[in-house]
This record gives sequence, C-alpha cells and structure tokens, in this order.
Amino acid sequence: MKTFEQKPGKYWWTQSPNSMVYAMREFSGVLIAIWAIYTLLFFAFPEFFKPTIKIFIEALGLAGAIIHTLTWLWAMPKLLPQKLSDSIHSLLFVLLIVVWLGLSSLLILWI
Amino acid sequence: METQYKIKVIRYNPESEQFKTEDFTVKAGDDITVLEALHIINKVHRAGLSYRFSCGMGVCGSCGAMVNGKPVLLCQTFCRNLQQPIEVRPLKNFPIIKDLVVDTDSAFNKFRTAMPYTDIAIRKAPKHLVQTKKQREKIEQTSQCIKCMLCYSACPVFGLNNNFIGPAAASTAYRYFKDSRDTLKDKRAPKVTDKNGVWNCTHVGECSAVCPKNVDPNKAILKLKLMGTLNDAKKLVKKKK
Repeated sequence: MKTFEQKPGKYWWTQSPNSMVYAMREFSGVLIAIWAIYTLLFFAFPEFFKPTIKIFIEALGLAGAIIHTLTWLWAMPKLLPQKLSDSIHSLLFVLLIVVWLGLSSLLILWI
Repeated sequence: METQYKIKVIRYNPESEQFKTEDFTVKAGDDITVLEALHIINKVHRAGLSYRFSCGMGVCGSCGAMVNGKPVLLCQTFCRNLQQPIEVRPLKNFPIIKDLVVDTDSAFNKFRTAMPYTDIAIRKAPKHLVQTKKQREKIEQTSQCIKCMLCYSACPVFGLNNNFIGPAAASTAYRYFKDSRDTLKDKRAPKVTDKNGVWNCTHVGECSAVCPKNVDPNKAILKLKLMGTLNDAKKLVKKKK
C-alpha cells in the first residue's frame, strides 16, 4: 500500500484570484528589473539604443511599477495591529493610493 | 422538501494505486452538509468511502477536503450553496492515504518549530498567569486555529516546498510571541525565521481566504516579518551604542 504524493500543477497560479494577484505582483517585478537593467545600459552606452525602444521599455517598467505598487498597497493595511473590516481595509487602500499619487506628483514637480 | 444532490467523489485506492471518480445521487433536505451527504452515501449506497470526521460542527478540524476546488470543512459546507455536481476530493499538498484521507503529519510537525507553549507550569510564577483583557485581545484571533490544515492545502509555497513552516504554524508562533506570559521569544525567533521560516512566504493570501475560523495567517506572517525586522534594527542600534 502506497500513499499518493500530490504536487501542484504547472498552472496552480491560475486557480484562484489571490494566486493570480500574487503571480501578477511577482511578474511585475520582472518588468521593473528589465527597465532598471535597460536604463543602466542606456546611460552607459546611449549610442546603441533607439529612442523608440526606450519609450517601449519605460512604458513596460511603468506598468510593472503600477501593478507592483497597487498589489503591495492592498497588503499594507493588514500590517496594522487593529482588526479591520473589509470596508475599512478598502478605504485605507484608497487612502494609500491617494498618498502614493500625491507623493509621485510632488516628485514630478520637484524634478 | 427533499432535493437531489449530485456528488462526484474522487477516490484513491492505495492497493491498486489508482484513482477513480464515482458519481452518487443523494436525496435530502436543504439543510444537509457535504459531510452528511457522505454519511448518506456510505449508508444508502454502501460505497465504503474513507474520510475523517469527528465533531460535525466546525470545532475539531478533522473533515477538511476539497469541494468544488476549494479547501473547506465538510461539516460547514452546505450542499444547497454549491454548484452541482459537487466534486469532493482529498486536500491538496498532502500525500493521500485512501479516498479522502490525507497524511497531514508534514504540517503538524511544523508546530514543533513554532514552540506553541509557555513555560508557566515550569516556573510557577503566579503574576505571569494573570492576563488583562487587552493582553488577551492581542492573541484572540490567532488563538482560534483548530489545526484543520486547510491553509496548508491552499498554500502554494507549502505545495512547492514541504519544509516551509506554513501558515498555521507561523500564526501559532505569532500567537505565542504576542502572549504576555511568553518567555521563549529568543528560542522561538531563530526557528521561525530560519531558511524554511516565514521569509519564504510570498503573501498569496489564499491561507486567510480559506481559514474557517478567520485566523488570517497571512496577516500574522506579515506581522512576524515586521517584528523580526524591527528587532534586528533595535539590536543594531544597541550594538552601535
């Protein structure tokens, strides 16, 4: 008699909304990494890179950064010691987005 | 009024090492749970299904199984709320012993890492036995864990790496870290944060979504990580001083 060892399938990350959010968060990290590496190379060897590719890579990096930030901001209210209801959790999530957008706007104005 | 429920059970036979799907029809009232439906299947159809259960009211945590793809307690899942045919299969991420019975030892062993106890009885210090309401509230939520192992079944990190401490053991560790009577923090912390510890958690959040007692292990692990980071920072500051 033998027990049957179960292992997750290749597509386990598509099986629930939480897993898909997780996969998106991790994948968005790869997009940011691609942007970071490209930017470093662009500054080192600007003559080898076309501006059209740069715009594409920057759009990719921006999309990655937005997905990554939103998915982490969703997790952040859980760090608070208080017990939060779903509505308060959502409210804090919206507030964090407002703070994030505010800080980003200040940064853009400052630059 | 009687309703007909179609139930599909995925069974494992350890002797032939084969799976088979069996369809059953159960006639019962609106108020039956999947666990009761399985009882009827065994009684009426003489199916000889193997599955664990005990209290039948969501306290013992024995009757965990996958129902329509989600890990649930069979005794708390009503057939009327489910899409038919109702598919019942063993919990994911654990070796299957027979039919719906899985071997949860790998997860239970993780509780040793969490050191889920205080040393009050050994020290016999009465002042440590008294907890204020506020102190109790801090551990209220994480104390609700019934070790049903649904969170381990839902955790993709545990599925990929069986050595990972896992949600229930981590939230239990957090419960004892926050216990006002606890004096084992220094011994527990290295175990909970080692290479198979909480830092492996990627916060998919599925453990909290399936927990029948709303323990929220995802939140507990986030807090453990924060506690660990702050403690390390404090130690660094102290060293410099």
